[in-house]
Amino acid sequence: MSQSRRRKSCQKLSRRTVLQGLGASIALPWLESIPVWGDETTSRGSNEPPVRFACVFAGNGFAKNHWWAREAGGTLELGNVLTPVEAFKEKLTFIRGLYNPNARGCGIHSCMTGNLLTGIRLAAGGRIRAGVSVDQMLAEHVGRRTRVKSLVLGCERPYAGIHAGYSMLYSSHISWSAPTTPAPLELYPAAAFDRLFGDGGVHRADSSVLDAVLTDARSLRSQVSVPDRRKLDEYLNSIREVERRIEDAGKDRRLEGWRPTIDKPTMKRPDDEIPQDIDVHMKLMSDLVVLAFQTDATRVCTLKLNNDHSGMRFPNLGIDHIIHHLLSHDDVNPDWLRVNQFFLGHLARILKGLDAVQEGERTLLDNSMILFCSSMLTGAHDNTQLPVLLFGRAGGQMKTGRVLDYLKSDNRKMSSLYLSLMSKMGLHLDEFGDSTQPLSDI
Amino acid sequence: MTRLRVCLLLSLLFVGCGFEPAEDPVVDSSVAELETPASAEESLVRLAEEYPERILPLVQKHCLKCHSAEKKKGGLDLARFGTVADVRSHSRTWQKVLRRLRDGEMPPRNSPQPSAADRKRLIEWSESYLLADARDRAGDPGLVLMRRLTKAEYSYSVRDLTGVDLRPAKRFLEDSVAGEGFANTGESLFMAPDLLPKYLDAARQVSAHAVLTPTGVRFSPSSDRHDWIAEAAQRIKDFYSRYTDREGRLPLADYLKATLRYRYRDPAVDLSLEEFAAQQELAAGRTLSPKYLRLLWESLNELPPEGEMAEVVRQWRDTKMIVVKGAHDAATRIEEASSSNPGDPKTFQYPPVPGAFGNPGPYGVRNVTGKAVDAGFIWNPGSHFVVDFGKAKQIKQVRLWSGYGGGARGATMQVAFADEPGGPFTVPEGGEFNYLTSSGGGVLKNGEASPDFTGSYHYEFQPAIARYWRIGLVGATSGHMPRTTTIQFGPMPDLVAPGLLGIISRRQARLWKFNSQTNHLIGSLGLFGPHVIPLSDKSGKSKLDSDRYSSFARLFPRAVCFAPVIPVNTDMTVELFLREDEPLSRLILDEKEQRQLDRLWDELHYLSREPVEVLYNTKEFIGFQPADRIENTNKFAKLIPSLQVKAKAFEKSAASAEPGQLNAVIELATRAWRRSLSKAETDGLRELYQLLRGKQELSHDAAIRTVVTRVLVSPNFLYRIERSVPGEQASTLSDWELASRLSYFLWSSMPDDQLRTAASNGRLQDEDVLTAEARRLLKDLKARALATEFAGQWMQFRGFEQYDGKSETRFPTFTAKLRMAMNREATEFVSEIIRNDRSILEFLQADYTFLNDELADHYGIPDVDGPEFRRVAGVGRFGRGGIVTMGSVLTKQAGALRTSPVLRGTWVVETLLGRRIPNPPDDVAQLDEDEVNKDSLTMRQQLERHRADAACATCHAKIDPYGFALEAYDPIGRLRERDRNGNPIDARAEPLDADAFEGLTGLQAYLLKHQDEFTKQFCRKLVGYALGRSVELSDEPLLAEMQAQLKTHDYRFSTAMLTLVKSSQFRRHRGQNDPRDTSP
Repeated sequence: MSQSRRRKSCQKLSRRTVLQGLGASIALPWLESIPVWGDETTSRGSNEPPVRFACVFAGNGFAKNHWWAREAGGTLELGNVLTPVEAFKEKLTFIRGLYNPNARGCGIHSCMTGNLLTGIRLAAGGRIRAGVSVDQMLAEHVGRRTRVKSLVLGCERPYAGIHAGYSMLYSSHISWSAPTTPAPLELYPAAAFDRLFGDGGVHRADSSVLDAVLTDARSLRSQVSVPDRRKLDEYLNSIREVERRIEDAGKDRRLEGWRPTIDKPTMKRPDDEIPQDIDVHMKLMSDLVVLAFQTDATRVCTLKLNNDHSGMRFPNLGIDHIIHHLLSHDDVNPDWLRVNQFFLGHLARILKGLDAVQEGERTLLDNSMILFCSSMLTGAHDNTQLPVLLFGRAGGQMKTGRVLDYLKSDNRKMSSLYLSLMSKMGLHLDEFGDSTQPLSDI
Repeated sequence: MTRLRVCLLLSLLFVGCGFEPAEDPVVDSSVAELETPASAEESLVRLAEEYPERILPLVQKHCLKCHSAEKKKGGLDLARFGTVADVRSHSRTWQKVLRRLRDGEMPPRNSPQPSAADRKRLIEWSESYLLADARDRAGDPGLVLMRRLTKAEYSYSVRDLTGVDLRPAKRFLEDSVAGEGFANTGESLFMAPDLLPKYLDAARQVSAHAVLTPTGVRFSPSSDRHDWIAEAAQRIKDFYSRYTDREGRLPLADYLKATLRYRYRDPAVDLSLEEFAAQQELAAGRTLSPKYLRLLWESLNELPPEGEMAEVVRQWRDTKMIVVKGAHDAATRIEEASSSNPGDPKTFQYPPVPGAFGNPGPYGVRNVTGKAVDAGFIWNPGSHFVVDFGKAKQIKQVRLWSGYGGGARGATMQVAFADEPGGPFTVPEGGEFNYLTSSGGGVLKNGEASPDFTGSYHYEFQPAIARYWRIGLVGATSGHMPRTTTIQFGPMPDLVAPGLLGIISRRQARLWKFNSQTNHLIGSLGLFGPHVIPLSDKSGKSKLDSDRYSSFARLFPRAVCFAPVIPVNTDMTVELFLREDEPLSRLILDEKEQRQLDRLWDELHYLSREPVEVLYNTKEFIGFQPADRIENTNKFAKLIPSLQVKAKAFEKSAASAEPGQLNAVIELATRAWRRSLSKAETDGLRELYQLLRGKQELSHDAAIRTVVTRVLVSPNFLYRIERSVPGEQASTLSDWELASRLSYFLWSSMPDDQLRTAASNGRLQDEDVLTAEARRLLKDLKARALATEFAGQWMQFRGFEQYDGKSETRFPTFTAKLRMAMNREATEFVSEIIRNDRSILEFLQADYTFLNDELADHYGIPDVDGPEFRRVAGVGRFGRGGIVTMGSVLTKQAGALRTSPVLRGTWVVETLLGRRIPNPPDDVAQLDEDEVNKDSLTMRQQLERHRADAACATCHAKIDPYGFALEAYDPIGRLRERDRNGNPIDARAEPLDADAFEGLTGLQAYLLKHQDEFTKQFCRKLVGYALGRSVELSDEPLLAEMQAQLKTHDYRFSTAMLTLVKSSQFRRHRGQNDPRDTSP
């Protein structure tokens, strides 16, 4: 690596720099230098396990009266929605009062959701632009060291349609690898499994194909308009990234001396098709998150259990008469609470899986940050504050078993939380989304 | 707890709530028409002058408090509109401003309001300015982003590229939408590192289906070599079956009948034998070979009646026929008979068009349910036909044969007579009789008497004399009706089949002996030619002289080919395939067909590597010979050298096919990339192949497949690329680009050969050619994609088969099959309008729809039998017809347990009419999700209760009435008289903008009265879909023109489509550096 670039690595990144890099997506290899932009040095030793980040999302909020936690006698008391994660409350930071200012005042659903992890105001009117999401920022930062940069999973098909002037793509995607490009949701457990443990669908033999089509794209570049070049760059960058995956196959790029507890999957490859039963589908996806972290196949996962505006029904709970979204409008309906708990149950499955993996003195859950959130507090589209749970201790960098209430705080932006979380993984930014200041106390 | 603001905008309450126009149409097109571009320029100048003094101060006073550069409330910064130039360059934003002003949403109610005069001035200025701006920019191609193929387009393109429906896109991400609500919009079609492997995988899948043939590359539904071989064998079998049955025999009876029929043809019909043959229909879709027919005709006419042929020739020449002429020549084939009475053949004149054969004639042949009788010889209850004997005739006996595989069960037949056309018909005593068929003798097989034909169902009744005789079916007892029926009047003559055929088959049996010994192991089956052994007596001497034998043998081989292709003996064989079809070529096939057959065999041999396999098999075979059969070992060992030579020759010739296959891949690339390839591109593909063969040491097969993969992963395939000219000026699309725009618009797929030819000849820019091509594409079956993609996305029935929003316990009949049927109904309906170029107003009201038995049952429409879909007319009286009555729409716009007047109303208002409903407040309250509720309220009562809040009521008054009108349809689209609570249905609607109306008919009348809104919405959606972008202000004149054209051309779909296709927007592309697109 050149000397000048090394020097650059010491500078902190401004949001503008990042966004320019991402937005224009120039013909340079995809954010080649990002891994070294952030500050590499953390307080963590090189033989310590790395910090992992997962975001688990559920749409349409939760039963308002049952979403709470309070500190009492050195422990936490939890509202009913949170019952399924009771066992892990010592590793929970219950965060109250955060919100996403750029998701306010534009309407409901789509425009509240697409930017949940980006903090940028969404483009309306049949256009698509959302900024880069926190998980993908982290993926760029730490992703090169693992086989897979990040895993973006979903259990419900994306929607086609436009709702109230916003593409419903925003209801279906919270993870954005570039401002105009959502990170595609993987719905097939088998495909996700292959991505983690197979060859990811690309082989060395594909190199010649990729080289050839790269030439096609390059020669087209000069013949198309400026906006088309941006589109073409998505393609170019994808090709380069895949080429890099081929190059990296078999290499270990981990900087740390640390090695994961296992390096082979302990579950069998799921069936090819998407499971009909939503419970089975979510379980498989949850297990994949655990396995991905345990094998250190990736350190960043996003699991979208359902869409905002979700059309899921739950015959498995005997609730077949109404879709998730409509049920969410009936905040006091006991069925709504049960559905909430069903979602938290899958979160608990992840937590349990992570906590069962001992990595030295700590468990894998201790070494992780598992963010659980929705784009509204309640089904009545209330996003004046958002439901946020944070599990894990980022390898001992966070105190848990407490409630942090920001409702009265000046700085209560989701983007501020993201700044804090990113720094736990060594990515120190001056700005992210609409914030320039990390949250206090995290 | 704060009081929840009760407002029920169900546009919030449901998934896929509809495509609201991204931007409202601001400019009324009727106004737009009045202005000319010249005056647009003038008024722009005038309006610009007004801005700083009369408009800007108002904006500053009323808007900037919130919408300043710092605060940007709602993301809107109005401070940047310092000059009129800013308004111009951000006219989209200004449209929003105008909309909020007009809707009275801004300034917010709790802020100081502008005076009425100021508000009016602002609105009027904005309207005028935006209108002038639209005129000034009319025809701007707009920002059309490079588009990746959608999931659907990818599938269709691969289907049309390969000719096989491989559906490799199954695992692609579902496409989201942008622009006007369509997936084919550049904005939402992204690419990402995790998607690319899916494309790579899909391309590899497709290439795995490539079959390398001696002449190039084809694609197969399978990726398994054994299947390809089976396919190649099947193609040969299919080829044989054009002319022969499974045993390789000709349908001799049909040929003989045809010759007889030709002999007794209507002299007025001036046809050659070959033309005549082309009209003859045969069972199982076989055709008559003109060549063989001519041969038969000439031989039977010219050969002296001697030798083996003698009896056949004589019988043929003596055969007489009674010809009954019907409306359709097909009718006659059943009526023929060779009369045993010598004398002139009789012509029975039909009355004009008897009902049994098609349209009801003047006799008004209709069955009891009022449906027209089906064409052909399908008997429906109540159908009959009338025979006009020309003069009064006495009938003693009626005989009936019923055919078609014994499917017939039973029916009551009726024979009646009359003296005058049209009746009155009298049924003689016993004229009604039960007509039964069974598996016993007498059932005709494929319309042809079986050789063991023993009896017939005949009925003899009291003599009656009349000119008209009517045979009909008055009732069905069970099962299927007889499909083909032979009816004879008068004494029973010999039929052609048992007569002539019997003679021939007896002769054949004597003359031909099937050599069952030679089809073992190596060697010919010995069916034909030298292998045919004339039957000999015990002494071994032939009893037949060869001349007599050969004249017969030449004309009547026992079989013309070995139809199974694959050896069928039970013993071991070393041969893979047997070709024995010399008589077929000699007697039946013309030269072109012979070449075709040869090619098919070449391909089979090539794919199966037959010579190589035979060599291998033979060696294996020798190895398996027991020691005591040394003579066998020696016998076969002798064959080895010659087999080796053949195998070697095969390998050599196989290698010679390689360059052709590479060429075929390059040809494939030109089609896949939808244009001609540059030399560099062609060279590049060849170089890649060489690289793979050379450096990477891939086999030819693997290298070819890799090149195919490469072609399909290229951006040239994955994206619809339009090159643009450097600079700011828009330019005309190239011919190729125009061809793709057209084909992806109308087919969601790549151009076909004809369109490609037009493009490569440079003729497509010619407006006449472009129009002709557009019309042609519209007629093609592929234009169904417009129904699924365009209308399906617009009207939200696309993907309905996966819709999962109903309670299974409440609606157990709402099955996957029913969903598919509902989806199909909407698709067929839209397809009908589009492909048959009907009036788009039929979307709003039509008296037909498309049904199968299941959906008809669901709708309560009688007399639709069978699972196949068909157009059913007269559905208006069952409350169907038009898009709002479709099960898919009614069901989707409803809850899991109840109807939703709000959802349905919103769908009508927003989706169909393109009206904009202001965003609802954040807080919404719930209606009971179950129609069965504790107070037993109707949906209307529930809604009315909730509409107590005046703020909500304003909006709901604009929505709900149109949903109330559809209350007679339950949550899964069935008509009902009461809701689940037992309340009678009240389908009254009291809209704000019209008189009260009731139910579907009222709604349809309302919609037709507001058809201009619908046509505007239709045009807007069509433009958004065709261009893959949002509709802009500068498109307003085009929308107006499309609407005007529709109005003057009976609202035909093609009118709007062609106006669009010929527009500047469709045919041009913005410059590379258009400043509007290059700024972030």
